[in-house]
Amino acid sequence: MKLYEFFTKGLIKENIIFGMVLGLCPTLATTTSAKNGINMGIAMVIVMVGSNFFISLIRHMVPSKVRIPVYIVIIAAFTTIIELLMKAYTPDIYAQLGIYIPLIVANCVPLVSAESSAAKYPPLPSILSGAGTGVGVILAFAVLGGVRELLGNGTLYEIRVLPQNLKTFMIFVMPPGAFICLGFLVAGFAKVRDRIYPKKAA
Amino acid sequence: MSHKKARPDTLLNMAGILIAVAVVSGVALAYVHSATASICLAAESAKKIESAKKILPDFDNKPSDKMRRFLVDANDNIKEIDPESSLDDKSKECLCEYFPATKGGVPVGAAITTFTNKGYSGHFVLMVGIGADGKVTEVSVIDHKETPGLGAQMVEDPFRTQFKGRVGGKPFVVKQDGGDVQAITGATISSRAFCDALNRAYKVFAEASK
Repeated sequence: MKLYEFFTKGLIKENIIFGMVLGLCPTLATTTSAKNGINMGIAMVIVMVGSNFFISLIRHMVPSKVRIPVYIVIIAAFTTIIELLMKAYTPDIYAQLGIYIPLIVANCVPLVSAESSAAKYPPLPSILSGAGTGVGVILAFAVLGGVRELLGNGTLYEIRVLPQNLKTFMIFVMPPGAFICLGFLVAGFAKVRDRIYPKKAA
Repeated sequence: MSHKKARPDTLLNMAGILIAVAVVSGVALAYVHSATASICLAAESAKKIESAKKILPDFDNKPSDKMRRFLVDANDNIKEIDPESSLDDKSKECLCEYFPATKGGVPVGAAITTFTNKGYSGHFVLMVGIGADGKVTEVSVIDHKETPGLGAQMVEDPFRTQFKGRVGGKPFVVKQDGGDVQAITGATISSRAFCDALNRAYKVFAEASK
């Protein structure tokens, strides 16, 4: 695998949200608007890049039986650091997303990234892989958040797109709307991905 | 899997790496926490003073100078405490602060930080401006964890602004419960909690005006 592929595979080919349908808790909870989704995605990129780097550094020192607890501790430490930094420097974003940030620890996206790349490869490819997976997350969150914001609130990235007096579908901002949107987007995504990366005969 | 290079699973190896990782993470967290704690605190108090400016009628004193603090327990018993005293986390949860405003020595109202524990995600904190005539001048949300896009809309118009100019003599109640407050669609619990916090502010206002 070439070095750049560590980054690009996470974007579409192995997009962790739309392709693997992992990490659904933050996906459904934080994508009430494009802005929230993107901010959450950025927090996840930072966590994954940081934790992948350290996990990759110590990958030969960790006995395989305790690797999961070790990864979780490292991911949790990074997540909490991001939370504290957000609280101090971007209080407005923290006010919107605060309760979801700790959930980064409990969802499987950083763990999958750690297990599939950081545990096997040297730091540089691991960082690239974490960043690629993370940018894939941002893309997915931005699309899902954008669709929900547009249908549910008539705005896109807080800019009004639909006429003010047009009745929008409140349900799309609420949890059931997240499921409905996600279903259609996953189906659409699969179609696009198979166009770009035709499946080899199994 | 290329775990062939990994260390063998002996008890010593496993315990050792776990302890080492936990200690390093703990130290890193403690460092970041102590480095950001003062910034968080400063940001919080700056936000309060900024909010007080926005929600009060025209005033010319420094409301934070004559700040009074009240603890309100679950049964709405109000107890005044020394404004300088330090509080543990539990009392911080039931703290209301009272910032009196005057213009040319005449009282024009007060800004009161108030809270509720009935939000969809529990505790949240508001600041209410109350004029000398007992009318709400403005409400501002200091800190909340309500659902983005739903309960979090309480930060925005038109929900928050509907309280402007209302007199808080009788409690605020949402329409669903027979009152006249228009709740946020899909966030009745947050709206109810918002009213609960406002009503608490009026209790503190009455207590402070005694």
